[in-house]
Amino acid sequence: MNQIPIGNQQPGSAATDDVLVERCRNGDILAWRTLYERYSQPVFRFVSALGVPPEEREDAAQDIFVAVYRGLKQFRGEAQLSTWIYRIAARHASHLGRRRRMRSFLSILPWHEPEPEPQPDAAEKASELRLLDRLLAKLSPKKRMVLVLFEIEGLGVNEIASLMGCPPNTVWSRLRHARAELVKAARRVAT
Amino acid sequence: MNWLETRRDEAEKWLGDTLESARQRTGDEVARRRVWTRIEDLPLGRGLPVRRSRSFVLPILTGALVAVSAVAVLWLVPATRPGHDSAVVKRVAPSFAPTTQPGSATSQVVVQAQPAAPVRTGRGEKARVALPGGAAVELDANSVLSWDAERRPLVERGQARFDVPHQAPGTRFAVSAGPYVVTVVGTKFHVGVGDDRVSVEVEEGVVEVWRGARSVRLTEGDAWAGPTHGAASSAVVEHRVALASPSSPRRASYGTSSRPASSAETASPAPSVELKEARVALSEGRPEEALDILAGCAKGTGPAAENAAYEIGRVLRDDLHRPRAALAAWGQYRTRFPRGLLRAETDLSILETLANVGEKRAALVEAEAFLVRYPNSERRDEVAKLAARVRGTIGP
Repeated sequence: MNQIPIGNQQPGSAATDDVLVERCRNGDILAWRTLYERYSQPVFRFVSALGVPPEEREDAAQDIFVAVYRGLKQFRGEAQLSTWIYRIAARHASHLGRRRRMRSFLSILPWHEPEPEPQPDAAEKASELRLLDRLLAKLSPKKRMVLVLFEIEGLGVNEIASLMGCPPNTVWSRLRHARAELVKAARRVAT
Repeated sequence: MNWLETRRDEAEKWLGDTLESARQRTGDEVARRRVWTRIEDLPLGRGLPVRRSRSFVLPILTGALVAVSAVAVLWLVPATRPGHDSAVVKRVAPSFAPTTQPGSATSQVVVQAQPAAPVRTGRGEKARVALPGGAAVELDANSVLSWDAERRPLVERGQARFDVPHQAPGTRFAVSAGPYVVTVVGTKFHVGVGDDRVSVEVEEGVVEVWRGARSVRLTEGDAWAGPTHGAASSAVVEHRVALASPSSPRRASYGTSSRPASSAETASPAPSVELKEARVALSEGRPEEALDILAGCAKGTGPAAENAAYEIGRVLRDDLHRPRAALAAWGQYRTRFPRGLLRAETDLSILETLANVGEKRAALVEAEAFLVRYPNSERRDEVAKLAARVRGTIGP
């Protein structure tokens, strides 16, 4: 393993995504490091907002970046690199969500040990964020995905449509419903 | 944020503010760094085993099938019903004695609820042992498998092939081999223990070989061998020995290592047990205890010590509200790890803390040094603004 000095002195930290991808494909570990630094925070934030519990986030991020790494050779640049990474992260978070729901279903069986309560992330002390996560969890997975991508990650509707494989109007519709449901849930909590 | 621009009530105001906080959510820097240490040495240009995305139907059907099978096993086989002293129940605790079915070269080991005893295979014999967590091990001839003080499978001698299903999040399957501990999430791998060396070969997935606070990460196709300095598993904790140093090159025991030897030799940083304990203590509101754990961990070497040295400052500032002590701790970090992976984060923490405690001139010096040292930092604008603000308050 090569030790790479931290900081932003690394060459290429200001490189465009296209250049980074090309350099990663050529086995440039500095470029890989830069790509990770650029996208690790959004990936952690995204999986957090999609409801991946703190104790699973590290493994999820690891799997996502391994998938990114593995898929870089096939990345044709038709979408933005960020959209492509979000798509991988979204798919992985959905998979984890299904697995959690299955575990939760199995845990109601009498002989199955109950799932331990997820531990709050020590790094996130803000109870507001935890409450927001709880409210987001009330949305359907598709509505939650659209809302998180639009409101938190700041993606455009067309980008979300491309990422989710649905028409832009569907994205708008889901977003409208998700916002309404979220406000309703927030009011319910407030009262 | 047009839809909440005209906030009509408290709920909408709260929602708008909280969504803004969610946008600023940075996550845990140390967690991100830990992930980097796991992926930074991906074998460039080589395909990696990744779980493929599956359809929605398949896991449901699999789950239903597992549930139905579990019901069938629990209710159709009298010996395994809950409440009975059954092998299934006892299998959870690794204290059992195996019996082998005679008459075949590969004998199936049957788990029984008896006091712990090692599994031994003689000449020409093989055995398959079911382990807790759905794992299984195939013991080659002339091998011995027992359990260490922490109830982990311990390969005392010979060759063993482990087949470990993917473990629940947060849990890892561990195997002791001489002074080493091999940890996995879900994989197939071989462990060999000879008189003078321990070897590990990964068939599938990723494993980590630990000795004290140092580790080596192996991926599919990698083979590794290390010297056996004492066969007792308890030596793992007592001996804080580097797994390999440039002067003691690691051998590829099976001749199939796909990495350059120097790459495979380097100790890979990974989350230490102490750091996890400290996180738990923090999340449970015991910062003093977390501080003790971190202080102990920081005395060591390697990435875990570096993480701990940084975290000490954070606990002191954020949890114990002792910003000056935090500044001293981060100062020590900078002395010990001048080119550490958390150096930039440490510089920022010092800068923010100095500003908060009113050390404006010192904060300004730090801010200016930061801007020089990290000209391309994503946080450059933020630091520049802070510097301008501080400069404005202290005047020329």
